[in-house]
Amino acid sequence: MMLRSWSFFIIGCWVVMALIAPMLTNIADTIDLDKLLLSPFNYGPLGTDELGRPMWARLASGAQTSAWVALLVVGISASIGTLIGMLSAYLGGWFDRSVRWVIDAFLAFPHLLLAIALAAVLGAGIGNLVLALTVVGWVGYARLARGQTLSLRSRYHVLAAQALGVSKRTILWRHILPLLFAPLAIEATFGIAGAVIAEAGLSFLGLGVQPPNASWGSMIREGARYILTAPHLVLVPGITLMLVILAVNRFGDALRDKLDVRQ
Amino acid sequence: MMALVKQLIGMLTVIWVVVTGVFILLHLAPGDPVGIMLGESVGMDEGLLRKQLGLDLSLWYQYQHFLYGVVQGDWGYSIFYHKPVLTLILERLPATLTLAVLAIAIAICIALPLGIIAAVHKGAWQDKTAMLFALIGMSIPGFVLGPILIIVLAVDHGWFPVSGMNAPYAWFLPAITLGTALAAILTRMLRASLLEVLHDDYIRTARAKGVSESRVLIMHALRNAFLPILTLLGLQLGALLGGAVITETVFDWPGLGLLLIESINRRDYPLVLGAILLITLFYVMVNNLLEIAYRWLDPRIRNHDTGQG
Repeated sequence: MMLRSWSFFIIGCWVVMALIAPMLTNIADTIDLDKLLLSPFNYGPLGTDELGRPMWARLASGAQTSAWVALLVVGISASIGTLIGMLSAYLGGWFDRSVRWVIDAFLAFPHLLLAIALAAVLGAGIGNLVLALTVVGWVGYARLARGQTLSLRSRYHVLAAQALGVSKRTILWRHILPLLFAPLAIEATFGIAGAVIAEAGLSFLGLGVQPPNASWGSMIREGARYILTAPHLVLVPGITLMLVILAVNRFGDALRDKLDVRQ
Repeated sequence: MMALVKQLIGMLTVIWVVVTGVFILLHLAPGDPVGIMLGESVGMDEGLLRKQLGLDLSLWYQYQHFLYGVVQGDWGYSIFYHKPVLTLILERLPATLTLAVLAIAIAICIALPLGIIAAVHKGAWQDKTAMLFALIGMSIPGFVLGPILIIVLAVDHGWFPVSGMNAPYAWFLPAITLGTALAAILTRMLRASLLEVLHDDYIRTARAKGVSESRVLIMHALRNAFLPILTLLGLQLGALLGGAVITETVFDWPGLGLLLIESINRRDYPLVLGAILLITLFYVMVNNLLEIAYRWLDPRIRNHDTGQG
């Protein structure tokens, strides 16, 4: 229980940081060459980076990036994936066969590698990053929604609705979708952790967010050059990133235990 | 036998999809390869170069040519190195494979004892500690763990080199970085699958016959718990190969992943897609071979296949 409230606290901090970041852009982007690479012990709460910008404001700006990317990627890929998966299972026939084929084809690629390839071809930038992660991400939701719908399709309440002549759309929307909610919520929680890691990873590789915008991944990338003299450039965003992912994963575990869904 | 043929046909289909996907990506990539190549050498005939590269032909013909080339080992030319793509990526492959094998070995060395201890002491502090380790291991990405290890073990203590692969023990930090996430997932999986089999009848029988507890665990339970782990290991290979790209970037490890990122930055698309093609083909083949091995190792699946088709 303590662990869970602890993870709530971290997630709360992440959200607050992301929300206040737009008010801090002036501070986060102001270069001050008199204050280069100051350690947290000498300046402010978290020190300054290689251009003299305060780390705490950069960190908030990175929180904003990761939160937006995670929200967009999970929101879009969960909606598209669920819709396709449900339709595929419920309609069956050639549509189901082709969807299953596409899902299998996507699963044949290692995920991160496919995202790297797409980001490389599309070019760097936050929009393309979201696009690349969504193209890779919808498959998991589609597979889950398809599997769940297949088993729900023969439940009595669905058969009863069918016998009463309820339209397909209403059955999917009112009788099947609400029952998909629990497993999808768990998948989406882990999806948020995955999107945060992927955004930071691609930005670390130079394929994501471009300067002057901050991402925790690009902060680590830039900071790695000063690892001998100013390790806080890597440690501050690195530990923050780790804590956020840890909290989201822990939250997902707790959610799964509570909703008691077998994987 | 039927199942094996089906498996092989499935594998070939997937390989065809991968090759086609790479061809599509190659043509979606921004910038005309001829333009990029001419950018470096002024005075060359654009039309001639286009003809030499076969870019004046129809897309369908280019696609057939590409498929044929991939099968024949002609994977195109690197724009930056002016060398065949296949030669370049095969030069870098051993470093990546070494790293991956070492990472898997480290992951198994960590996960095996932790998973067993956690399952045997379910609910006790040993279990909770192991699961906490697993949660942290799953949550710490390579580009965070790598630099932390460098700061603590290479910079502060000087026990290991900061980067490269030539110094003795240079492999240790990269392999730990890459193997940690896998170790965490394996620990969780091993615990879960051990807990499942530990309640089975044959375990109770073995215990009733007076077989020692350690023998029950290792000879009876672990053997059966291993099968799902094998499949998981194959699926995790994808994450491992993706992770290798990041780990190699962190440690300047001269493998395929580093080549991939360098080529992306140089806009050397034939090399980028060649590297992706090779890694994906490797992943697909290993997974299919594992599935065949899985069939062979588990008589229940084997008999099911032959008995009921």
